[in-house]
Amino acid sequence: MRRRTFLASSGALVTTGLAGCSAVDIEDGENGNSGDGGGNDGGDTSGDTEGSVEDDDVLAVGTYSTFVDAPSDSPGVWIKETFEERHDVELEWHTPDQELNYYAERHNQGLEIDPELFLGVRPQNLVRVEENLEGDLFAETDESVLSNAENIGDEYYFDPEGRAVPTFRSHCGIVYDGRNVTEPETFEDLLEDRYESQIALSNPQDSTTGLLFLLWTIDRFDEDGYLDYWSDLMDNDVRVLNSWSDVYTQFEEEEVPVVVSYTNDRVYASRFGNDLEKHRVSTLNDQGYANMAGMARFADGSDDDLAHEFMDFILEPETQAEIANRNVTGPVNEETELPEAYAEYAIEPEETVLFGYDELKGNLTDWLDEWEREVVGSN
Amino acid sequence: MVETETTAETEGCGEMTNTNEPSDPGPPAADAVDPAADVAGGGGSDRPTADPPADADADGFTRRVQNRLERRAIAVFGVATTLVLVVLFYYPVATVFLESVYVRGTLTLSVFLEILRDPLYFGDFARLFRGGSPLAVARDLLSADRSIGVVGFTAYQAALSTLLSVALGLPAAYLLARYEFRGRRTLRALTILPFVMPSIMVAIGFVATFGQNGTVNAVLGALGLGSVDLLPSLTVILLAHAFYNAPLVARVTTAAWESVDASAIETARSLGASPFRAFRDVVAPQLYPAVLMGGALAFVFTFGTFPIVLALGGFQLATVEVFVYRLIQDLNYAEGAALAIVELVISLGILYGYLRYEATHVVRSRGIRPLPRRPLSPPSLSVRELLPRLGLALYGVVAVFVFVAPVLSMLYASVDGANGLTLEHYRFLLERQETAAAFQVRPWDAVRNSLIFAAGALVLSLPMGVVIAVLTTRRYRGRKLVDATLMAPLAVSGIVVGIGLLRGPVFGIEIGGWRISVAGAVAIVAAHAVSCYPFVVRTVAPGLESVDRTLIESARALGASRVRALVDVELPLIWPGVVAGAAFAFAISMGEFSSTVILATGTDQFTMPVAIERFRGRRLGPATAMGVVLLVVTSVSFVVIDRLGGESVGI
Repeated sequence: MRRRTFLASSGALVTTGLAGCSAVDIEDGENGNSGDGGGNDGGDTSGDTEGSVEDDDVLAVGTYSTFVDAPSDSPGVWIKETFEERHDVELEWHTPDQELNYYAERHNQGLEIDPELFLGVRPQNLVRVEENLEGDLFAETDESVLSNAENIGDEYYFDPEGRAVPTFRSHCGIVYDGRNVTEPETFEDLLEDRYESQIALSNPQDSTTGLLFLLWTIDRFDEDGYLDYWSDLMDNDVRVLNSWSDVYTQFEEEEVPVVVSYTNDRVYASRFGNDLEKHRVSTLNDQGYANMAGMARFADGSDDDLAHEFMDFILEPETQAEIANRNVTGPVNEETELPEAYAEYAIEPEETVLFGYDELKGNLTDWLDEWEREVVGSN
Repeated sequence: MVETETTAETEGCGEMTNTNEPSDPGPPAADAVDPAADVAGGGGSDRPTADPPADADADGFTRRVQNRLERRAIAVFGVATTLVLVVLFYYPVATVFLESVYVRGTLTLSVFLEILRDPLYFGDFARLFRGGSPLAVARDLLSADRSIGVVGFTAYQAALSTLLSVALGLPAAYLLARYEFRGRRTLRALTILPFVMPSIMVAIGFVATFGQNGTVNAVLGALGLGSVDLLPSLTVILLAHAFYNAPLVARVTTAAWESVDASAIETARSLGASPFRAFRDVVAPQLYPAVLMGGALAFVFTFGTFPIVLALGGFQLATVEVFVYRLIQDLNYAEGAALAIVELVISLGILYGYLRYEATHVVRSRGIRPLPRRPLSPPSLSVRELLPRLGLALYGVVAVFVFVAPVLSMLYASVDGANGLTLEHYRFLLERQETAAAFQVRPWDAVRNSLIFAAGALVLSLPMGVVIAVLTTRRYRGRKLVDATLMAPLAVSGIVVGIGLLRGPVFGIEIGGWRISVAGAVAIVAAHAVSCYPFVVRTVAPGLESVDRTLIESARALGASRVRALVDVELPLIWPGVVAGAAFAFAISMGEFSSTVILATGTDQFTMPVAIERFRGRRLGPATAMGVVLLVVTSVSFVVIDRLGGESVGI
């Protein structure tokens, strides 16, 4: 069913302000977006909303838990402290265990969504939400109100409908133990005898690196050829494990010397004082599949000013550098000065591969289903 | 509930229909009088036997009121238990399951049909549902390139896992129930540990033990025996399943073995039976139900297995739960729910089969004098003394690799650093305690929460389980079906329960204009109790069923209420079962993860398994250090309870 036409008829959206703010009617503008007929709802047109931000304001932001609580380091604490200091508001992190599905479920049940936005939206999330939810979970953000948006590199955009604003990125790549194996340089190399039963990657159905690698093979071998490649991979006794953690556990325990992981691996290795020879990174065919993360406003969001202040803050070069340092992911703001360790140890592939929202829409489920049928029971 | 209340009334009259009375030869009845007399004495009444109604009439008014209250107690507990189950389990799960038949506003069975016809799930069987000839399907299934589908494979590996669990569990039960040795009780207490181990810890331990550079290969290499390539393989999955489930089989069998009345064997022996014959005819029939129960539970758990299969085996060996998980994760609720129902029906079918067996194989027991234990060091060097001990020694070697080595490798991982042994990961835990922000997990808080929640879950699940056991051991049509349905918390897919909990208690249930939501510590305890109580039911019910009815009837005839008879007569007789259930309840709660994270309203309610998950990263150290904390806290709890409780507790 076409949700947009449905929404177009639903007319205006009334946003109720927080205490002290008056309720603001926001006409559903036909002007704000180029969309496929009909306007997008949401607060994208409200940059001109009057009303001051109260001192005791609270901004709730949804994200995934490792962004605010990870055993090594995470940017959550720094962002909260710095943002609160500068904007005189309280920042609340919301990290439900089901991540975005939690909000999808609230949306399904017709319940309001507390956070103004979600940080860490990926292209595949947008596709899932689009395919399975009635109505819009996310709203478009008008980037003209974000002063730092103009410095976001064009190549980082993945949502033509403008809901997700690029925030940070990393690249999927091969991490291998240089002490025990030679570097695999191409996809074909992975099929060679010397890597037989030496490679582990995670389940594309349920984990990010696995999915990125699968999409990468689809880009490389086309829709018609990727299953053959996977068939050959499975013949070479590649292990498809549950999650990236399981894969990395086997790498750490020296059970497998080649794993699909991220190209930033050596940043961590140097930080922990590990043998860098064990942590070598290969960009297959000099490529890396981009792991893009964005922030997107929830359609229920009501405090545009505060949300935009936060988004702009996240895009500031200083914050971007802080995220690069603590999240070990690359910045999207091209003015960002990279942290030393990141600049030295993170590997930038010569060519970035990425399927955007449009390419994934309508294809992702089929690709995964076909992959599943190819791999299950194959031995 | 109406039905159970009426049965309570009919039972109050002491009328029993013994349609299911087993034909098995029970133990000799010669000693029946003694415990009965004791119990009657303990009941506080010296009155000789009389007709039940006359007895009730003769009692004083206060006694009648008290009796009425006590009689209602079972019903009241029953209602409370039902309420908890409905709010935290049946209603939430139903909201998800409904999506399989109610798709885009219409009722349909098409989703099920699609699944049944899908060769991915059902292999060659799928053709049966597409109208293929059964003969042709059977022929294909017998051929070399048969395909049994994901469901078939799941059942296959669950069956093998069950067999292995029983094979590795029984010798342990034999050792713990029949031999006396230093550290026996500590060892028995520690057999609970696998229940609290998060699968990520087991995966780390198993890779270190059975991997290509693992302990097993190191030992084999040192002995000049070459090496084995176990990872990834079905074998290592089966071993991991046995790691979890063999202790389960061992614990329930040990409890049953300790309940075997020594006098029955003595009688058999005095009548000329050989030791083997006495074992076969007297002891073994009392163990079968426990072994089968352990087996049935092991099947259910390994049928619904998820993370460990993909962590050690890989996607080629994916089970049904893997697909349920990803379908729900992808928001494809209709297919996910339908597949989860297929999974549930198979699991409950197996449990139902076991319950039918249990009902027809009740062994009446009348005494609680356990068999004396033999010393582990052989008293003489005869073949008969040496042979079983030699067998146990061989078993010990296997057990060291399957159960001990994985735990030890976890310990090792927690002190392994970039430059040799280190305590930095434990220092990390201390630092986190000091510096963590409000939204980050703190190790000590997790320890405290785990202990409080486990104690709460124990206190709640014990009466829940006992009441359900009482209600399902009554005689009424279809009671085994009810019993099996009440075991559903063991068998329903975890992610379905998770989404259901969100929709139900967390988001709130609308009642008369109010949206009532249940979350936070109390909800966590109650949800833990829901996961734990089936263990209490399963360890208590067979005992209840086996208690000689005439004992209860005597107690009731002498004026005891149903509850009083339960507390004073039945529970003491089946105490090992109650304690076994309590131990499971405590441990299940300590290891619980999924409903805790969903119901917690803040990180200050997180438990140790959640902390372990949060501390997982590139290095194994932080998570394994937290894992060791979990193991130590659990071990200390169990050993302390065992010491405080004396021999009769026997956890």
